[in-house]
Amino acid sequence: MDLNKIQVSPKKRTPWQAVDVGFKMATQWYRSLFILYALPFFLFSIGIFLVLSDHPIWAGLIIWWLKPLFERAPLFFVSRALFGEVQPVKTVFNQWLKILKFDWLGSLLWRRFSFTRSYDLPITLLEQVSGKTRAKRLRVLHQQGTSESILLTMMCFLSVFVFQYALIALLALLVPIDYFGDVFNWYSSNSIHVSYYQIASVLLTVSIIEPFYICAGFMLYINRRIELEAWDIEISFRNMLEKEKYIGAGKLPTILVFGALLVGGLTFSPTPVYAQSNDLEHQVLHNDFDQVNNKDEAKSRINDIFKGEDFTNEETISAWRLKSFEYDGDLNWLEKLINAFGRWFEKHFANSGSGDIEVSGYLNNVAFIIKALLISALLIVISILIYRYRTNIAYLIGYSKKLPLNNSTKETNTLFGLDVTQESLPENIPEEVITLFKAGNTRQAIGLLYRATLSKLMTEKGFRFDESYTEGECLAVVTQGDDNSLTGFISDMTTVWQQLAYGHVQPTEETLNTLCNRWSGVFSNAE
Amino acid sequence: MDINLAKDKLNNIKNALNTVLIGQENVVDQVLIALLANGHILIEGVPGLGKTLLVRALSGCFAGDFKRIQFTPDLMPSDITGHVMYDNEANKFRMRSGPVFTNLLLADEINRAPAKTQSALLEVMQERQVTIEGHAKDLPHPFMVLATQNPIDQEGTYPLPEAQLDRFLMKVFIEYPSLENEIALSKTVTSGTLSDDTFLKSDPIVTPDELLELQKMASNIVIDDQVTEYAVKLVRATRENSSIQHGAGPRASIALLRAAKAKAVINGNDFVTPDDVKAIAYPVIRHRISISAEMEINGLTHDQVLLQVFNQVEAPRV
Repeated sequence: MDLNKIQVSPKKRTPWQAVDVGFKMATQWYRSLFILYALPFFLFSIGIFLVLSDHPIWAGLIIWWLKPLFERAPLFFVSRALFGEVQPVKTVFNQWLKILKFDWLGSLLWRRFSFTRSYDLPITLLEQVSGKTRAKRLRVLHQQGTSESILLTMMCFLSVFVFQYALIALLALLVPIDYFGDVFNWYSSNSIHVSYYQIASVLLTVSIIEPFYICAGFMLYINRRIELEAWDIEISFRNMLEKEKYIGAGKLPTILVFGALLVGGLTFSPTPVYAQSNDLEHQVLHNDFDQVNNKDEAKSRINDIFKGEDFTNEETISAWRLKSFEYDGDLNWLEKLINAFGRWFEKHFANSGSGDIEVSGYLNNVAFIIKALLISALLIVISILIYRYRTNIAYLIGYSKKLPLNNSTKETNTLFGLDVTQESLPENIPEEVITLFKAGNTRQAIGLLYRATLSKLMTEKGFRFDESYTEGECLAVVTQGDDNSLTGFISDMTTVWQQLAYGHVQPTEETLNTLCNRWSGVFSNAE
Repeated sequence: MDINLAKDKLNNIKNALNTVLIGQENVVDQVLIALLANGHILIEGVPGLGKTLLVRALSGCFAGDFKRIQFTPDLMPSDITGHVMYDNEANKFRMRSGPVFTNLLLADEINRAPAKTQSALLEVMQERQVTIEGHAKDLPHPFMVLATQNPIDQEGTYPLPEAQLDRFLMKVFIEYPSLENEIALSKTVTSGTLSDDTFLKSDPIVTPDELLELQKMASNIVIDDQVTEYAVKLVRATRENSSIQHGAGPRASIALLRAAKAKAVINGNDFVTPDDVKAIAYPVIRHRISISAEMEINGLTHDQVLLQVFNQVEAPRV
């Protein structure tokens, strides 16, 4: 294993990032991985089916049970390929039995149902540790990435089913529609051929998915080792060393730091399987420790180096952070109330001879439950409100351009673009209308009269109009008032207004005068 | 023909139809609007409400051709449009025109034919022509498709695709008549005053040429810019509301204005008011939108959602 030849960037990643890199690795060497897994798997499966040809279920069960053994060859391949040693498939097959030999029984018995199998397999196959050493190693590794490896197993398990049903759907799509029912009847029958078809589809889908599963688990393992053993730092120092060698003027302090950190890394790293250090590094280490045996002096030098340009990288970043706040004790009143109630309750119980009840503790629990319920209720109310007004919120924040529905009818001061408030109207409406008409401003005159009419209807008669109401709808509202003279006037007024506004028909002076007279009669408070 | 004469003629048709189809005045009005606006109409109602009767009665009032196609699952597109056949006697190919070559076409139970057959009407309805063997042939003028469909008993039916629905100017619902109207209807039919072929015996009220003139009058009627803007705003509001998943397109705006003009003529007005637009907006838009799942779960109909949407659109500002 040569760390310098590692094919992925050796940096610390989150477990899911590691899984992604694993999937990428699988696609990189998919052909070899698929052959390494599928070929022995299929051959073995055919053999088992031939032996147990009348019992496909048993055959399928045996194949499934032995499945972990077939994962080893692809893992062996990818563990070499990751460090630049892409071996021919044939070479791996030559070592196949050797690969299977270590701990095969444990893999098939007590570790068969492990949900972290792909994560643990490298320890079995590559580190080849067992017993307490293995348990200790697993404890260290599983401090991170365990849940991800479990979820990975479950995802791949479900993916097998998805692919399997996709194959069934594919079969159904390829069958002419007239025979569709026949195919499904066949598929739902207990025929042995159906069992073979199902098992064959599972074998195929398992073979497709397994390379991804193995590589993702392996990358989780590598990611953990990168973190534990600081491979990234080690490789950086190696690069620095190479640079120093190239320049030809080795700087002692740099080498010292490299040595100290390397030694530190080796001391704290728990594994027997490390990237091999070369002779030059050993030589440098020995020389450094011979020369620098004063601990304080070394520390001082290290600190000086840390302050140097190579180890100083100042960046100014800005980001949102949660403000730290302390609980201000607003709910103390509740606690006090419950405690007071508890004291009363305790006293009461003491008087009645029930002293064996832990009232105080009990009430504390009750208080805690009430507190939890109150907070839950608050959260529920907030959630309901957000859900209820989600469209409005989305519209307000610009997420959605669609308006929410609004069922309410609002009273308005503007109708058809006309200001219908009392304040906007002149004192003597009919006089003003006739003046405007005589001045040739017919539209303004009729507009004023209609506006005044609507205003009076709202202020004096108590009608309510919405902004969306058309003239006809306003008339319909007035008609419901059962005032015939008013309805008649509004009907005529509306007709004249509509003829002018939409039909561009000018009313005669006589019509206008009649309307003005009737207007004065209809609205009692008119001037 | 002036507006009053047009109103009289249309009133005559309306009265004739109302005599046959008692208690469905709104439906009759809307069918006439579609006829006048040179559009097609989709009539939906449960069996026994007189959908087919209405169309046959309309054909009785009209001197033009009327043909009927009963849509069935095995109906082929060529059964509608026609086809080319070899004439042995003449020793040449001859085109056999389908039933679409008429003035009024009743597409009865349109949703019982598969999509392929329904699609044969797309070109017919939009471009008013039929293409057979690469040759386009114009349909007679005026031409109107009156399709019926049943909202229940959906087994074995093929819902009309959106593109097909959009080509109908209006979708009209025939509801159950009121008690009084149903009593009157029952009395009329059982006393022998009215029979199924009454309308066929009546004299035609309008000729194709007169109908074309009425349609021309409707299309030339005055419409103020504010009213046009209001119609477009109503249609656009259906696209900008979260309770509607898919709103109506620009074709709906055009249809709404055409229908509003026709409504104004029927009302005897030579100009269009916002009332005309708003009143006709429901049958014009209801089949061009799909309401959101939330509204459907709440049990709201298309018209109820439209009502709420239209309530958010301000009336014209003059």
